[in-house]
Parts: sequence; C-alpha cells; structure tokens
Amino acid sequence: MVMTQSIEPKAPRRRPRRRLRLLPFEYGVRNLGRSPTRMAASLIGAILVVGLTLAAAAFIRGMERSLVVSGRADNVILLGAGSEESVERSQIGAGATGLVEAAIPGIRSRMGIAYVSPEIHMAMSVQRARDRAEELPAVIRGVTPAAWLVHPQARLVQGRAPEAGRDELAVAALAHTRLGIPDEELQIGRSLWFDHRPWKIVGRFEAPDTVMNAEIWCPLANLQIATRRENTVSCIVLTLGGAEFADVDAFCKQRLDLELSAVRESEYYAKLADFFGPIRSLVWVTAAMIALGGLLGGLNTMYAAFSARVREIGALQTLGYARSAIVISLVQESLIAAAIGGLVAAGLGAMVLDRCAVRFSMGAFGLVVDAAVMLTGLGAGLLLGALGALPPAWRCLRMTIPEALRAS
Amino acid sequence: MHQRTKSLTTRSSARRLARQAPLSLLIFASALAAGCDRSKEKSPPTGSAPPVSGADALPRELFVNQPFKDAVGVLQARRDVKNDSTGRRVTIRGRIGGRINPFVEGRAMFTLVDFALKTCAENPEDACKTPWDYCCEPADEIARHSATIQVAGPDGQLARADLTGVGGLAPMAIVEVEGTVVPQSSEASLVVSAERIHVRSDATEATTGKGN
Repeated sequence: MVMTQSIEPKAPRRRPRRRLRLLPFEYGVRNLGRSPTRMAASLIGAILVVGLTLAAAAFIRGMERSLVVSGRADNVILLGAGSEESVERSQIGAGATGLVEAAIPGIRSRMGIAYVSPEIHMAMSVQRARDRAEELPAVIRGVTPAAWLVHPQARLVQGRAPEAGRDELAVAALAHTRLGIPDEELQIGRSLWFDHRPWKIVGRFEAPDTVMNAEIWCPLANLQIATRRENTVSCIVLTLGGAEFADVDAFCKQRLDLELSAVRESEYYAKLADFFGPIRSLVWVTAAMIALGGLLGGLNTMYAAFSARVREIGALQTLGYARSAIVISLVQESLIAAAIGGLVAAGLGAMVLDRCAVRFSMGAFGLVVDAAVMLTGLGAGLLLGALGALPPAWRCLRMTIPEALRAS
Repeated sequence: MHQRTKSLTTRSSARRLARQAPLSLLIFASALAAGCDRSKEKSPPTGSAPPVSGADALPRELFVNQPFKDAVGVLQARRDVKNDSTGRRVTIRGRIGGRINPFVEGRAMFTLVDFALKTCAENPEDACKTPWDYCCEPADEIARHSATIQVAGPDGQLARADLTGVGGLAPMAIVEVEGTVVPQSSEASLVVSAERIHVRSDATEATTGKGN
C-alpha cells in the first residue's frame, strides 16, 4: 500500500502579532500630582482656553439666534422700495395698511382681526428725567395691538399693553441693557422722557432670543406725532394664512404707486446676520489668537514637565515599553489635565455667561451656552491638550536609551 | 478530495449569499415601500381641478421672434392710458427692472421700466451689482417710469409660473409686450396682461427705436 502525502499548498506562516503594551492608566493619573505647581499651571491654562472659546462661541450663537428667531417664516415685511435692507430707513404711506388688508386674500386672521401690523422702528435717544441731560440710545417701536398677533414671540409678563392716545410704554426684558441703566429704573410706574414729555411705563414684556427683547414699544399714533411723521410708517408686517409670499409680492408689483417691497421676515433677519459676518470672524480670530497664546504657554509647561522625566522615560523603554506607548501615556496626562480644566470652565461658563446680556447696534442679546457651545469649548480644550503634549513628548523620545538614562 | 472541493464550493456559495442578502433585503424593502406609499397620490378635490403651474400655465404662442412695429415706451403708454382703460390694447417697450428682483417667484409677472430712466450701469463710477434696481433714482421716479406686465393662465387668472429666464426674460432684458390693460390698472399704476412678448437681442436698436 503506497501512502501518498497531500500536496495541497500550505497557508503562509505569519509572524505572531505583538500587542502594544500600554502604560497603566493610573500611571498617567498619578504623574499629574507629582508637581502641584505644574498641574495648577496646566489647569489654569486649560480653563482660560476653554473659557475663552466658550465665551466666543456663546457670543456668536447668541447673536445668530437673536437674528434667526426674530424672523418668522410665515411673516412678510412690506418695506419702502429701495429700503429692503433697513427697516429704520424705510418709509411707506400709512394708508397702505388698509389697502393691503383689503387686497390680499389669505392673510391670517382671528375673530375678524387681520394679522396686519403697521409699525415704526426708530433708534432714538431718551432721557431718564427732564433734568438729566444724559441721552440713552433706545430702539423704539410704534405698534398697534395687531403687533402682539404677528409677533407671538413677544408676550406681556407684567402690567398691560400701552394704549393709543396715551404716552405709555412697554419695555422688554433687556431694554435696560440697551439703555445702559439698571433694570430697576424701568419698572412699571417709572418714566422715560423724549419729545419733551414723560412716557409712563405700564407694561413689561419679553421676547427671548429676538431683537425685540431689547426694545421699547409705544402706541403707533403717539410715536407718529412725536416724530412728526403722521402719514408714514416704517413697515407693515403681516402673517400669511392661506396666502403665499408670491401673492403679497404680486400685489406690491401691481401697485407700483405704493412703492412697496415685500421681504420674508426670516430672509430680512438672515441678511442682517450676514451683515454681522465680519464681526463673527473677528471674534473667532481673537479667540484663536488667545487660544494660541494659551497653547504656547501650555507647551512651555509641558516641555518643563517632560524634560524633568527624561531618565524615567529611558527607564520605561528599558522595561520594554514602546515609544508609542510612552507617547500615548504622556498625551493621556495632558488630556486629563485639559479635560479637568475644560469641565471647570464649562461649569463656570454655564453659571456666569449664559443669558449674560450684550449690547449691540440692533439692541441687545443674551449669550447662549447650550450643548453645541459646550461641545465646542470642551472640544477645543481637548484638542489643545492633545496637541500640546506631542511636541514635548517627541523631543524627549528623540534621545536614545543610553542618552536618556545618562541625562541629569 | 471531491468531498473537500464540494464543501469548499458550498462554503463560498454560502458566503456569497450572505454578502448579497443585505442588498437583496434593501431592494425588496424599497420596492415594498414605493409600492405601498400612497402619500403623494392625492385625489383632486371634487368639483375643482388642481391649479396649472409651471411652463404648462403659459400660453404657447407667448413669445414671438418678430419685434412689434408700433411699440411705445412705458411713459408714453401711461400717458395714453387713463382710468377706465380696462381692456384697451397696448404695445409697450421697456427694460426689465425697477426692483432688486423684478420678477415674482412662482407667478408670471415682471416690472418694466422706461428707457428715460438711467440704470446704475450707465454710470461708469457705479459698481452696483444689481444695476436693474435703479437704486440711484428716487423711488417715486422709478414708480412713475414703470409698468407691470403679467401673463394670464388657462383659467384667466395670473399664471403660476416663474418667468425668470423663460424665453430670454431676465433683469436688464429689453422686451416688447403686446397685451391689454387689466382692471387692477389705474392712472397711477399701469398693469398689462401680456398676450405676446418679444425679447430684443439688439439693445442699441431697441433704445433708439420708437419710444416716448
């Protein structure tokens, strides 16, 4: 009986794969406490970088949100032709309100009241008292009761709406920030002065995350008299029901004599947001430059920390730990310090920055510290923590093992 | 060996089937979803047809190649047309413009401006990106030199079709329109329902032709 061997090809022999042996996690954690001074410096640096990034992101988010939320997709603003970019510069005939209401079917209405709001928007100076010459910059909106319908974001929280024929005001929650005065001076019963007479505050309202949240509202007719513009308003805001934007635009183009231009409210504020694009870029550039300063400072700290451990690193290599494992451990230390600093900064930011009011040209807005802002700040901190450890780690590991062991 | 070859073949077939199974399931699920999806099948309301929109809403012979011999400028047309001129036939020549967007999105309408008004492009120092809006001119002058052109759909109402780019219509285009004055028109605001439109290709000839 002849035995024949199988001549099937054998699978190629593979070298056994060595698993990278990492340094224990506790090793990196304990090393953080070896030099409390350096640890404190790293933490402060991380807090500053993350805090600054958080502040920049909260500023931009607050500004953007106030402009986006201010504009509703179902609202249309009718402005003077040629003034589509600025409602303050716009002038249209006051009589156009009735024509719009009558000629455009499908405008939203409730119990017979059409959602059509003629308004005057003005940036003007007011005074706290007759004998106080200091002029405060205010954004005043002359409205009719229909304004509360077309702007549902605004709601009265105290008192009542100002009545036509009376010199009365309703002030928004951040109006004091816009004016630069304490909120107590805008309580119900107090007054502001303009057009040489007092206007009594009878109500307070809020319109969170909108530009209206820093405005002062008064009766349209009274503002028309005070500003000598009895026959004109700045704009008409209407809410679409069954009508489409094209119907409103078609009306404006059929009645060229009225010199009206129709713009979706959301598009109007989106264009304003674009206008503030350079400011947003400036804020980010400033934050990046200061973060870079923080990174360089952190690098210095890391260089000092790792340089003092060159012999230790050499000893670890003699024990069989690969350079990559040592780098991972060093980066881990840096990341833990950055994460601790980042969490502290995030907590402080949530407590201090959130809803903190900032004044700008269109009024005021609150900083927004939400999940996206937190993520941005913490992400920046962790990124800088990782990047900050690599160059010093690379420098320490460039030496050969004998050189490292001999280092002083 | 035959046993081993057979088992190898069976295993490779099984692996091939396993790889293809998810794809097959996906195709089957898509077909099922498409077949069962009735959400887009809306039956029209009883007694009324859905509004015609898009290019189908426009008259077939709307655009003509030959210019009109008796076209007048917008200013002249406004002088000729008084109140109670509903139904009167007019032939107007002008330049599309007068607004940042002289068209209406989703409606067959645009505004026409008389040549007497200078566009921003005619000022060499002006680098305006939208010269057709005549932003250098006062708003009341623009209104005085303008007319509105609209196209009716099959139901006689304003057609639901965007005219931007249709037949060569674009901001700054020079057009001649033949149509009738609509009831919404007045001495202050001329509105013409276009029956035929000619888009001029030669701007010079158009601006020096019959006008005001």
